[in-house]
Amino acid sequence: MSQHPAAAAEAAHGHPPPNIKLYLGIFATLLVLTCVTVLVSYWHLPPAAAIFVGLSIASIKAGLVIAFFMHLKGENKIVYVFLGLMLFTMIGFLLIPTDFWLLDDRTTHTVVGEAHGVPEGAVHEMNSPDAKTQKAGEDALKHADAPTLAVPKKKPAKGKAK
Amino acid sequence: MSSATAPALNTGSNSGVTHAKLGVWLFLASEVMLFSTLFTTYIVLRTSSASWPRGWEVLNVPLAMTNTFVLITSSVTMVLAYAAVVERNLAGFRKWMAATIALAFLFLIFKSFEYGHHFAHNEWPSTNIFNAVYFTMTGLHCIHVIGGIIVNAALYYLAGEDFDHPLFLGRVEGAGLYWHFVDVVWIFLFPAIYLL
Repeated sequence: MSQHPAAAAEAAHGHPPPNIKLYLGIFATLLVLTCVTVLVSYWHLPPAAAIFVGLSIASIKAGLVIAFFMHLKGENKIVYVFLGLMLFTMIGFLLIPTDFWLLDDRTTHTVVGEAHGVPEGAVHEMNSPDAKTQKAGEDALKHADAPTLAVPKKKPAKGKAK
Repeated sequence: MSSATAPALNTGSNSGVTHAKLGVWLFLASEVMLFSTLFTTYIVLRTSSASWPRGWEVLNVPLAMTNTFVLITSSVTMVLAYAAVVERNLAGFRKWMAATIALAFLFLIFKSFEYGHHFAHNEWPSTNIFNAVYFTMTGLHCIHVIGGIIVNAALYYLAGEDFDHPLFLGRVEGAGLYWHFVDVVWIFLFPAIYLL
């Protein structure tokens, strides 16, 4: 279909030959995968599962676009070298949040919460993947904030600490 | 060089990839750095926030899904424009490139509906951290779409004179790489912001 002599000649100069049937096949796959992502999101899966499914499908879609539309498949090795370096740095960036997860109980936030009279663990509960626990944490915060903020002069917590 | 069509132009390189294409790939690598830092910021802010709305609760998922279809379709029309240049088909190139530009505008129109709805409800980037993340990431992506429209429109215009220029195919290929990258960014933005 697209195997014109011109196409073959251009391919020899480092420009990938087009394959229209393949492009349309990828197009259909991308549309189907988009529908799948949206449908799955309506199930309201727990966050960990939702992130896994969402990002897995997105990675497959991105992989198809990069491999076939951007012709990375069959591209010169030098491009892979640069993209390898890029991937290494990108993973480094994306690992930054682990710093937060490794800090037990998000120390800084708990301290801020305690200064406002938030019961211990309330902030932690709100960050829980479980919706019920989150609600409990939010309720605890609501009840805790009102009296403490109304009498800002008293600072018993600080005094005790010293 | 060895090229029969471009004897006077050094379109190749010692690496086996044209300088232009290698440059575009390097540029895209730097763009990936930019967007991955934003994704990291998003993860850090979201996991350390006391509360965070689910995307579907506060954003228009059907509209964003339509925009995903629009952008994916524009990626296909872009690659078909490239195929038309390879096949030396000026009319085909014009047709597919015009479709790509039109779809990019359609994406921006849908996006402006979405932004307009937020602004009408007095939701600004400064309203809360979720909005800050949402507007920064989608806004930066929109700027990239606008950049793509400018490049693609320039190629559409230049095709009249330069279609037979030996470097024209490489230019369309480079613009295509960039445009597909913009599509790839949206492919990750859409689930990350709207569906999680």
